Amino acid sequence: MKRVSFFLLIATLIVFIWLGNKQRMYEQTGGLTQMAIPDVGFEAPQFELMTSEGESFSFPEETEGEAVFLNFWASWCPPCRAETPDMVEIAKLYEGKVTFIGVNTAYQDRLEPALEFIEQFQVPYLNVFDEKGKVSHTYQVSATPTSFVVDKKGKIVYRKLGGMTRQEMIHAIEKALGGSD
Amino acid sequence: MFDPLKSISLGPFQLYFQIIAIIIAIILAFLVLTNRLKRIVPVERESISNHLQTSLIIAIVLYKFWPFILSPGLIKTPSNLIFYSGGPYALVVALIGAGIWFGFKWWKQKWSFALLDELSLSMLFGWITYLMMIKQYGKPSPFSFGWDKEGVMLHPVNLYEVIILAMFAIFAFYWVERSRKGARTVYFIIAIILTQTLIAPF
Repeated sequence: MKRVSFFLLIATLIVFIWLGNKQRMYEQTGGLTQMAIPDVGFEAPQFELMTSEGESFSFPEETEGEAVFLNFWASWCPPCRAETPDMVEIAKLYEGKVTFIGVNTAYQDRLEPALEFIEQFQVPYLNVFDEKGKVSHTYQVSATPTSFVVDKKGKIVYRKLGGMTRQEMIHAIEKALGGSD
Repeated sequence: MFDPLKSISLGPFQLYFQIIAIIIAIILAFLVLTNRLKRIVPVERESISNHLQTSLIIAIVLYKFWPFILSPGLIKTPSNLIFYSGGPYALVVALIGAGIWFGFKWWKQKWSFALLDELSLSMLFGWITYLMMIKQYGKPSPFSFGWDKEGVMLHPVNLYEVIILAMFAIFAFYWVERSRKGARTVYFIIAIILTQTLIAPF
């Protein structure tokens, strides 16, 4: 058995080195290298939603080459209320460097309180409304707030379920800005 | 195996499968360790497991309160205690804090150096348990096996890691001398580095 364990380990190492080489060849010959999954290290999934003015917004087409802070929120959600003042402040601080987008989970919220929320906190960035919950489903958002920070290449660098503090937002944004240079 | 982003609702709380898997892995690693300590250091077993539990509590408390350590002003609104946890470097701080506490107790109680091997063995066991419960998606794969995501086959990175680590563990069982204190720990560190290198392309 002692010898068998040695040969098993060597065989495993050889198999994985071979698999790694196959993968590199696959990528070099134009194979698919990225996949949109709502998790860190993957491309952020595409979506198209409406603004409160009824204009269509497409992600990532309309933010091509920009770092993006995506925040899924609802007007009745207490942690969303707690983090929004900081988010507004950070959005102003990083104006021109990072695009902030609020995604209201409209399928579990109402338009009127959602608009009141935007007005109350004087949210300066774009907000879109996920009326059918399709985008929340695609992004696997099980609770609000959930935030994603996407770098300039469209890759998710940070995902957080729950409230984010100022420091956490800055940390995630700097990661997105630094990682895409 | 579970998707890391899937969750279940427990009343007002959302529990990610990833968190459940971490809890199960920690419990199993702890059981493995206490079981092995029974044979190796029966007298000190209870004291060691008590201090390990304290270390775990220290890690959880540090992780939970890290945002309030970074921004003490947050505590002015008590409801923030429910809303915030974790954040930048919270995990690292929690692990270092727990490690310092346990290391201090180790030094003070003069526990055997052999404990290090038992700790690393149980941690490896816990890590493999976690990997067996939670899917880790890799890059799109040219092969016909893997995790199917919307018709695209992705490398099952967690399974690759389990296979390689299991082979290293079997090898260690027969080849690494148990009488040499610390040898297994060094071997496991090398095994983990090699495993990460091997799975890097995926």
